[in-house]
Amino acid sequence: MFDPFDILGLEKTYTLDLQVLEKAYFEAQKLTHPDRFALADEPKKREASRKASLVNQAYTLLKNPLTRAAFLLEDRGVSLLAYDLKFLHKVIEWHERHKEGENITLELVHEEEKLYGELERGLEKYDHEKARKALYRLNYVQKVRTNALTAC
Amino acid sequence: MPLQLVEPGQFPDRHEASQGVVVGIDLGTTHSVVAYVHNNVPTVLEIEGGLLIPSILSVAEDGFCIGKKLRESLSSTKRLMGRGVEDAICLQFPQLMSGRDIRLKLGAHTLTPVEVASYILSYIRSGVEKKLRAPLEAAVITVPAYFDEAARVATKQAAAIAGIKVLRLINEPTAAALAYGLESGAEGIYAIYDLGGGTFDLSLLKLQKGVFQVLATGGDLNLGGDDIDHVFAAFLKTKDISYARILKENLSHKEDYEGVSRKDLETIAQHFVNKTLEISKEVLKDASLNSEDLEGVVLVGGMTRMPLIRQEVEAFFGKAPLRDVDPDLAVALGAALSAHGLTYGAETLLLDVTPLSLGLETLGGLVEKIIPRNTPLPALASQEFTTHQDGQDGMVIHVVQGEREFVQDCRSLARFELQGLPPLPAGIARVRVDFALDVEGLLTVSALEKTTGLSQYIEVRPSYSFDEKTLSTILLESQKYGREDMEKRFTMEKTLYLRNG
Amino acid sequence: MTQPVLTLTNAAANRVKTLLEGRGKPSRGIRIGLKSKGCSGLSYTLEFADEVGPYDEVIEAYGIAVLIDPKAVMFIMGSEMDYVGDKLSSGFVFNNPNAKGICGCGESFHV
Repeated sequence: MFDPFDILGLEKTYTLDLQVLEKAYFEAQKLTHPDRFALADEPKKREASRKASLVNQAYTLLKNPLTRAAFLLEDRGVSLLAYDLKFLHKVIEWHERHKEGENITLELVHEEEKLYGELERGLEKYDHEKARKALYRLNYVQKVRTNALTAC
Repeated sequence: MPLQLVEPGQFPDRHEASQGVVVGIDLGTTHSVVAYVHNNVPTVLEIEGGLLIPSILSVAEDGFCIGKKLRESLSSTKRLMGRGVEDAICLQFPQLMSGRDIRLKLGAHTLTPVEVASYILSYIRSGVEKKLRAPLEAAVITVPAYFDEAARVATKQAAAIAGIKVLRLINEPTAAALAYGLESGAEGIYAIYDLGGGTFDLSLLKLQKGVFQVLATGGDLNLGGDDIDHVFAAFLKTKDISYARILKENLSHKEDYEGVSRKDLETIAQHFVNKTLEISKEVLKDASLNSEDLEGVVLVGGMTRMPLIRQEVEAFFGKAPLRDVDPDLAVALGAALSAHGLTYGAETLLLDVTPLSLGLETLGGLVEKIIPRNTPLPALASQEFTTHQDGQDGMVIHVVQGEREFVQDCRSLARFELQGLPPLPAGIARVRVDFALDVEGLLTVSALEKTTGLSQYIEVRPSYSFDEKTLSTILLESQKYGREDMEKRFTMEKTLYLRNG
Repeated sequence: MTQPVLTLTNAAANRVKTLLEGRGKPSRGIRIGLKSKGCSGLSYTLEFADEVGPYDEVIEAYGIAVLIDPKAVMFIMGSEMDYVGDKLSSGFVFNNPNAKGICGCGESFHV
């Protein structure tokens, strides 16, 4: 199974120093990047390309805290939340308020901060209900924020 | 020559074939340059008395001639690589003949853009071999970062016709960054502002010892010196584009020339410069950066000699553009370094990204982005599909490039069919499709039906016909329509959600 | 005759150790081999080694195992392996008192 922590040789925790991540990423690419195999035969080149793609995927996944959290939950056998109706209503409400010209950015930023805290604590303490709920909500808050920013 | 410590089998005995040289070739719209690494120093090769070889193919008494504009000649044909006859860019080519594919008239001959490029490459190859008295073993050839699949494939085809083995294609801004970065030992985030004869690229790269990483890239395939020449020529009320170009070049170091003032040229150029800065803004946003985060800006391409451009770039980025690099030669020097590194082993790793999002058509005419723009290369994505009807025995997969939410607004890259699916009720078949983008950004698709194990490995070569929308228009429009599209999509998704429970 | 087959400078030993650590999988050491053909006849190869070959000469020094392909032993006898770097290229070099000629690319040598 695809395990980004394993691919980059990193400890499997949510808290991750981005510089440590980047260093691990570069070291992995130095070994497997197709440019290192420019003169090798086709099968070796293809294999290098495949491995390097996985290294890239691992890096991209771990760099984003939401995908990192999603992976950890799945790895622990926790299914991701499918829907949270109460929260969806809140999202639609934000959407409407924004359309009416209200500046909800500050509120969204606060909500996001709060949720990141809950996500981290949930994962650390293995409180998976807390973690998966926070993750679900964060995904939506980010979507709304991106839309709000695009419009500005 | 220092040795590298490598994985077993990584570098096969390259000495066997090699008594030859490896070079870097900047196959430019208006000029081409070839360089190689000699005694550890990247050096431009002078071919027939010039470092810059005009990318012009002319017909003379005794055959074809490269580098000189004679009575009948073709120039700037790079702008036609990978294009179709419906593309607006064709309007700039009076030699275009009618037909399904792009063919240009030159004297008694008709040539495709790939053939023209192959003649230029052959000329370069002969020049190198004559000068260095050694066979040209292989080359790295550069392409605009924003070149799409069709244009990249066309470039490789031209090299194949010229008998040049291509180690790989690399993006022009990345090549320039390599030349600048290795020469200066600089570290940090740099913007490469590359305005050439035909295209504009802006790439943001993080330079550090051992790794050059592209963070984001953007550009416009229809924005270059040539476009300014055409508008300037119209202003001068002449059809002689070369004359307009000569005037333009002279006005870079004179305030007045032949009765025309620099101010007149600047008024025309301003519109184009503004477009480049809009693109720059988007690329910074893609990378989540501000200009304060940059260590510097490097200018590449002859057009950047224009004082207006230097001023505007400085004003926009808040830093004086770096002058250490020769804007005409940097790309070829970087390509030479890359060629050398690929052949003999290099300490510096180049990590590049794909410039445009890759997506699939899904229900409702929506695009499902499977590989977003600025994804590091090489990249892999998998998608699972199932059937909508009982007994459905085939499936069409439509791959598109672009940033818009709806298929009709994106550019069709390829359509292919998976056939022979086992007869099953709707929704039971499991078709996994793998999309692989290699380091050059070229796409390979393979499909596997899991319940039967039926698989097809398909190498995708774009066969789409071009509509008037260019690559650049696709991206710029999507920024404009972004919010509109998202609203529509939100509504569509809500509808589908409610419909499907 | 007790001339050592191969010596390493501190720079070379340290660099090898760093690369071994960063390889990402267990290694037995590094292997030096020989490639024939080249403009001057012969050149060295330098690879990570996963296991010891049956006839390899093994040098354990500086905390690393340097395996030498039997073909290479005779030519490398008395050499010093160093690690050099300038801004364009860095890597390992072998200073071989026995090599009489170096080809233009600096890659091959003949004895």
